[in-house]
Amino acid sequence: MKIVQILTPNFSDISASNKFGLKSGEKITFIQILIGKIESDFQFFASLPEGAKLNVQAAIIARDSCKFKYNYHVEHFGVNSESNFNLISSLSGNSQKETEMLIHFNRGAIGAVGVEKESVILSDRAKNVSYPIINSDEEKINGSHSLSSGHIDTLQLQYLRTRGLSETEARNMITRAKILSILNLIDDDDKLKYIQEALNEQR
Amino acid sequence: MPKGLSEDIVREISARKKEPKWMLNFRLRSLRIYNETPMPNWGPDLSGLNIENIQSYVRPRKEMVRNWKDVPGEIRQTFEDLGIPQAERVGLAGVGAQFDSELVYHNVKAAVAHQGVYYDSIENALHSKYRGMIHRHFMQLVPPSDHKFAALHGAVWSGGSFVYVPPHTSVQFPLQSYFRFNAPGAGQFEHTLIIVDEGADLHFIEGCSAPKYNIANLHAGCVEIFVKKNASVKYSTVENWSKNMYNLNTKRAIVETGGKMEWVTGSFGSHVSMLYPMAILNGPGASMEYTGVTFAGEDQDLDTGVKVVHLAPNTTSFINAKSLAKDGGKNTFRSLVKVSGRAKNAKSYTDCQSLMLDAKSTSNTIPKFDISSDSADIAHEANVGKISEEEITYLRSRGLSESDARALIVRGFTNDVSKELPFEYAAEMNNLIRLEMRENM
Repeated sequence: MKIVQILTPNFSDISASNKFGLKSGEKITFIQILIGKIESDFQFFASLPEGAKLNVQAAIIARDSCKFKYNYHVEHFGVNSESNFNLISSLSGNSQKETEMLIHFNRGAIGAVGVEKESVILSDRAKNVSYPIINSDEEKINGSHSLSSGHIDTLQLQYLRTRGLSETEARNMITRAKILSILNLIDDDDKLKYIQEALNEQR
Repeated sequence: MPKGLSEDIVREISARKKEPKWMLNFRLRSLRIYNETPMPNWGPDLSGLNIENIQSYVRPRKEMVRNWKDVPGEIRQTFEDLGIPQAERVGLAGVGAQFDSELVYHNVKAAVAHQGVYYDSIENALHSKYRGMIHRHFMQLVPPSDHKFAALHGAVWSGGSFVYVPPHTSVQFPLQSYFRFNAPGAGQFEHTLIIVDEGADLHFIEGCSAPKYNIANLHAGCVEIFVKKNASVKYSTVENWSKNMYNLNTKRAIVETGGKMEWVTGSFGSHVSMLYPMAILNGPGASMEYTGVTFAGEDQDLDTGVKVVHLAPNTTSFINAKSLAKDGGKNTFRSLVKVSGRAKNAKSYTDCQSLMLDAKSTSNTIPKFDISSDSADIAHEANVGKISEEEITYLRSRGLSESDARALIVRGFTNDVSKELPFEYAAEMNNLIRLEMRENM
């Protein structure tokens, strides 16, 4: 099952709470595109029984004085359950993001695999706080998380500016390229068009 | 001295040490802060620790001496068994040996003293020409308001060392302080203050151990390190407290322009540990490296990690943490990487690896990243897993028993720490791992 959630600046304050209780052997891909404007609060929770597979791909674009809170929490209960969380964020202006990601391997979740991966692009006066947490009560598991935080490559920016783009346009183009891997998972052209318009609107 | 904590006890400690008035006032202010500060509401369970049952000051029966022959027999024998006098002869520039609340031995080699290096008990230093320097630096990095046990430390600290390394002085061999805890139900609150001046370098080693009692002991020491411009300090610890110990130690360094701070930590003992060495990178180009291994076994809850704050441009930090849990032990790696808006082009890399050695144990990884610099490059990787069956099978096919194969893999896993230690300490650490693994099998 594939679920796509798009939340854009049409909402002045946006918040969402997603809870998934997967069935044994069920597979879910959850795609989130979150384009924030003012204050945004997201909660994500999933419990994974035997053989359940969860794939969450999320992109956060925050500008101006947007404040994002994102809480991701996955409980592995079952044998060979799998979770994969990939979060790509672009923060500019005075925007702030705080992310807490928790993977918990309960006793008995033998062979479970949980992966958290986060990459953040920061610019201007933006601020990012991340807590990637792994708790394990089971020996035979594999849990991992990785974080990379950097800035927009100035050479890329300069190249695009020499091609006639303004700095804002160049930054937006680089940001869209960064989240392209997530956008490519969306099959619906109308949704892609809607995201494009939201990104343009946010300039 | 009676158990518990009161103004009378604090005044008595200060009077026995013939301290200057400012220090007594500092102790009393710390006591007030302690009484007003709640217990931490996060981390391991501290409910088994009752300060009313802790004796905060236990004086050995002998004054501090500068020759091992003058140390009383049974105390000397304890340190002989730990190999301290031998290590001093072989490869140390100086040694301080603390027994319960006071140093019983302190010595620095003549060649090192000739370089202008000052290494003595902090009590002696308070009456030396360095008293002004101590007054300016004492608990400035770890103020009593930092947390409840920093306040407790400020009120009842006793023992520990003061080190001053003058500008452009290279101390070729390490200095070592060894803390031995023998009194049941007591607390040890030593203070280590190290100032390494411009362009100088120092390696300081801290070792600790205690026999096991069936009542709680408390260690709430404090280490403050000032790394001046282009100076370099390596601080290595092999901690093997007994498993009735609450180890609530605080270690902090401030690093100025071009300076380097290196923490090397092996944590094996204690019932509960909360230990997070910290570096404040205050000048451009300052750097910190942390290499640590924590091994939690039965009835141990070891909450360890590291903190680094980048306050200046071009600062770098590198964190390499390994942890192991077995026999129902609980291991938590907790870290903070904070990059301020001023820290342009700061770089930080954190790698934490946890190995679960059985299905009864718990391993937690709780890093925090607080990034406010648009030009910072921050990377982090963490992994929690078990010993690979393929590796064990391979080693067994080469003739090793399963226990030897597991021990070899664990030693390889912790090699990053042992290779940073002088040979004798690396051997001690490997020995501790071997003993833990033998118990495990």
